[in-house]
Amino acid sequence: MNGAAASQDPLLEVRDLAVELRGQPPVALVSDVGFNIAPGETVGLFGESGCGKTTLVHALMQLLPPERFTVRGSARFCGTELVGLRESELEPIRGGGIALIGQDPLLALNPVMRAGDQVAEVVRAHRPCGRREMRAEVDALFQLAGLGASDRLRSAYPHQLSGGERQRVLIAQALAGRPALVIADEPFTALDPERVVEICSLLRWIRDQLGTSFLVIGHDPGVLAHLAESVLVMHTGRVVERGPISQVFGAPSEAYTAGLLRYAV
Amino acid sequence: MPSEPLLQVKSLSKSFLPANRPAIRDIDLTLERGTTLGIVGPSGSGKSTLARCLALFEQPDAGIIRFEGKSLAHLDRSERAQLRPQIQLVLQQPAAALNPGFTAAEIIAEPLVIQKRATPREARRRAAEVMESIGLPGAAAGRPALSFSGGERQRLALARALLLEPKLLILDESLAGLDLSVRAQISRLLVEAQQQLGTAYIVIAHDVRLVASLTGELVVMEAGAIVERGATAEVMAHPRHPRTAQMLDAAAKLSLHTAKDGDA
Repeated sequence: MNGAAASQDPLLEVRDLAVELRGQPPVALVSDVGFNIAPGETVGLFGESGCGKTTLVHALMQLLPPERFTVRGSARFCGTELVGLRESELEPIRGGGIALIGQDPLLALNPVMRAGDQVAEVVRAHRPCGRREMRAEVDALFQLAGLGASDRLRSAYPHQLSGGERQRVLIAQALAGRPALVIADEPFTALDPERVVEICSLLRWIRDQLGTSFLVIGHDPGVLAHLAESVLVMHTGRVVERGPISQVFGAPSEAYTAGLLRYAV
Repeated sequence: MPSEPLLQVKSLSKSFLPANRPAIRDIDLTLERGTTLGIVGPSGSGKSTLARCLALFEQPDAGIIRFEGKSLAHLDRSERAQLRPQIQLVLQQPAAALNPGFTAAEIIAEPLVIQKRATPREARRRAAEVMESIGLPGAAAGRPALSFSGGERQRLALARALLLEPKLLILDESLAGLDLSVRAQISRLLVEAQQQLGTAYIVIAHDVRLVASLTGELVVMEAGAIVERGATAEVMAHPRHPRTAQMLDAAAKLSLHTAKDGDA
């Protein structure tokens, strides 16, 4: 957004993005959304349930079925326009350019597949490679996600992992395609505060090591303030306020933001 | 005997197969009528097992639970049935606890009918009244359960539990994952209900930030045991156990109102 890295070309440039649910009449879900994310920047997307945060992200990733949704406007990622891009052209961008981490790691993981195999599956989708090379790559991703080199974790099924470990497996999967941007949709809701602080440190470390940018969606301002440099506040499908965390959460200029923050813990 | 505490727990333990590692061990608790106790601790520390034992959903391996002075271990069927409506449990995911084939009014009314405290017709009328009091329009009474948002479902689950006027309401992560304004609204509802009905609450959370303002007393759990207890303000200000200090430190880092001390 407007952080220290703003002098570089933005990694993601969103302009006038709008999403409508088709019907008579159509229902506007997201309107007039514009923002930038610079390389290595972490941006928070803050808002209440139903404000359009997840719809916005799904529109960026072109995950909304066109028979039900209309997406207008522009979202350029590394110069490539995502809106209206063909499936075959989207494939290398999904996971390889932009990775998405969902809200519920237990839902996102295959319950009958070992954690290591699930990470390997994603690696294979991006870069077919031999067994030895795959082993090394999965090891590297487990290390990167702070899961260490333990065989116990690699051969564990999701139900044998703790909530924090499951979230780290998702992070390992997300990094498998070496994305420049990771979008995390409410990644912390099921975790206790100590795990949240640990995962925040991990994401910062990954950003410093790999230069990855993050868009983190959340409804807890304290968590976003701990992790992000700047924040977008969404309300009824629009970005109503934006800026550095200290400014938006410290001295909000919009009544809506100020009203919400009264309840913050 | 009204001088007796509402709930007394002594040396309560429970293990599950196949690990046989105690999920909770040697738990002692006392709860007075009309007061609120917070139970906090990381995932897997035994909070939910304790809640399920107190709500008569699990049979403890050892120890005593006394409710109004009477041990829960030696109840016959009819005594158990009488006690059940007095101890209510509300879970984190109300969607999982609401019958998707029911309307909002049917969900709230069902316990009254099961407990034979009202005819189905009378129960539905009271359900509509209660919906107004929790900020849901009475007109929504006929809508199916799953057409409500997460916060609305949580309010339905709460209204259903409170309509039985329980003496003890256990909230197991019922405030987690909710929007700030919804959480504030539900907290307000809980405080009002306590003032009107004298209900005692046990509020369970892995995030101390969610329960601090609601509770007079706080218990910290770790690996199945209670490691610290005391007045909430005292525990928050001067934690004695290192695990409590760690937990509060993490919570402070995620709190908007504490000064940030840089990266973790």
